Amino acid sequence: MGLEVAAPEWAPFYRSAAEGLLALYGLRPGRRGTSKVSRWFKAESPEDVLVAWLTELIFLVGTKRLLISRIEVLKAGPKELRVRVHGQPARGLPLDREIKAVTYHGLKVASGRSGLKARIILDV
Amino acid sequence: MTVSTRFRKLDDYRWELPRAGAMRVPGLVYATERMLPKFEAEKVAEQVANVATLPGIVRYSMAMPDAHWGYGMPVGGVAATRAEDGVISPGAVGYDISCGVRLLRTDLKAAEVKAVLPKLMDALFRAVPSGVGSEGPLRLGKEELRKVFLKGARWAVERGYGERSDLETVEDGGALAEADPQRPSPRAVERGQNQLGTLGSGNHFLELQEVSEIFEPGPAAVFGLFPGQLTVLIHTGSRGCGYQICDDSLRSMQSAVRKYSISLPDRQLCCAPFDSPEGQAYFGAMGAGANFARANRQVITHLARQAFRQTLGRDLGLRVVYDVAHNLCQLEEHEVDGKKMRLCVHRKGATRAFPAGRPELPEAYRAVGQPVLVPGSMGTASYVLIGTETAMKETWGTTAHGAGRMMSRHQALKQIQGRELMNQLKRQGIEVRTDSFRGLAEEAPFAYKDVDEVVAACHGAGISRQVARMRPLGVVKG
Repeated sequence: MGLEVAAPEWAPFYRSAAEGLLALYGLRPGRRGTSKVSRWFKAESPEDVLVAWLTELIFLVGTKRLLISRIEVLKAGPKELRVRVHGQPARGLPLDREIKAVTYHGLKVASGRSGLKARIILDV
Repeated sequence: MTVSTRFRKLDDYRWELPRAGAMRVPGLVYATERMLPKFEAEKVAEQVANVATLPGIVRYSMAMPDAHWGYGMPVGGVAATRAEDGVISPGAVGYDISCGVRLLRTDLKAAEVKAVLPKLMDALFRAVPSGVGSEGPLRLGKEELRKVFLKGARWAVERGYGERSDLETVEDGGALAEADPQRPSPRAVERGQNQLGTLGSGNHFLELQEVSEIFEPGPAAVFGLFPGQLTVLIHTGSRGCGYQICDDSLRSMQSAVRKYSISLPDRQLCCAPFDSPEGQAYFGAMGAGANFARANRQVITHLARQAFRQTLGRDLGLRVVYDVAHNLCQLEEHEVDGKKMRLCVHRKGATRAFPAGRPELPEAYRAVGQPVLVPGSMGTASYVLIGTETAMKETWGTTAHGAGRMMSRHQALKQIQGRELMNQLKRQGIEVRTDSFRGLAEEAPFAYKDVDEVVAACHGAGISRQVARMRPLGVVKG
């Protein structure tokens, strides 16, 4: 299963990728949550940042059962991403499918005049 | 029919992909001519060629008759690398480490449970957690999970989830000796803590079957199989724990390829020298994940036994025929150009198929050979095959693992709805239990290759022989 993400800049790019993942889970944003999770990703390439970020989301949703209400992107670039994820722990959170992992298959973040684009293949 | 010009025909079942470009060895695809166009459409040839660039790969990069596109290596791919100076690659094992199959036999004929089949299916559906995010009946502490990583199915039997005799006929006695229980990350531990004893989702299942045909009575009798018999087939793996181990390792290997100056055509094939710290870390962690999968299938066996006892009120002689992985890298000794060599045999969606006489086999089976368990899709047959000398000589003792997908989940969903499929299967006499109609539709039989054709190709090529065929009676779908 795949996601195609396009955005003019890094912050909306990473946020769109996350929203796409949550949509594959069949999740709509929850109400304002009481939990806040801060994460900071630094890597050699935007592909590595993207994989780390979406992998973290798979853990937060699939294992921690966090119903995410809002994603704040605090800092974003080709080799770095700082986020704060707001949500509410929801035991028994119904998910449309299990997403095992974000793969590196054919993964390339293309940067051009129209902005940033990537196609991300997920193992489901 | 146009045969791909990329392949050179060796015989009716063997097609060589000549060495070209960065390939260190040629490719070798086991398939009938009829299957080849699908292989082309699935880009299997391209992926076989990519795997052939792995440092230390020996003889061929191979694909089995059920091969299809995968992440890095095709599902149905086999690649052996020299342990001494070759690499180990998580992408050539897969995310679901030691996903595999376990076959249970009973003393019953399927006809004896026909009247209570719906009740039995309800009991199994209640007893064995399945579906997205399913949690098991066990809640393990971190230290206890480390023991599972070390002891595998043995841990489960020691805790009362099964019988000692279960371990006598499972691959590696239920645990890989090379597992390092400390290697899986805290996150892998956390993902695995509540998942022991669960099927998961996707193409995982528990199936009640009837032995519909015996091809080789001798080995069938040794395996405890007879015509009309009720059997149980379990297909699942290492769940979130295994996926996390693979994830962690892929990330570490992305750095390793730079460190060891390894050039690869596909990042998903990232790897490290087997004897490097990164290679050994992955091997130990993979072993731990494999042992989790073996423990998982053992706990599910116990839960199934309980469901049978509660429903039918008696012991059915439920015994393990065999338990075998189809996503694993195993350290094995093989003969290469007349010399013994230690090899890392990567099997991704491919099953070990050792012949008679091998010391790795359970004592009870050493005289006949290793059972190979090949599940079909829902609504189609499954098979028990047996390993052969031809497999040992040509494929490092390997054969196919199943029917292989030939249609994406998305495409399958467009063609059928889950409830309609359930009704179709019911009309065929197959009871289905699931809590996801979407998941069911994604696993529609038409999304998979013809398992009869796959098995016939393996048999025709001589890399395994047909022993028994089973037809489904009921499925608990993850």
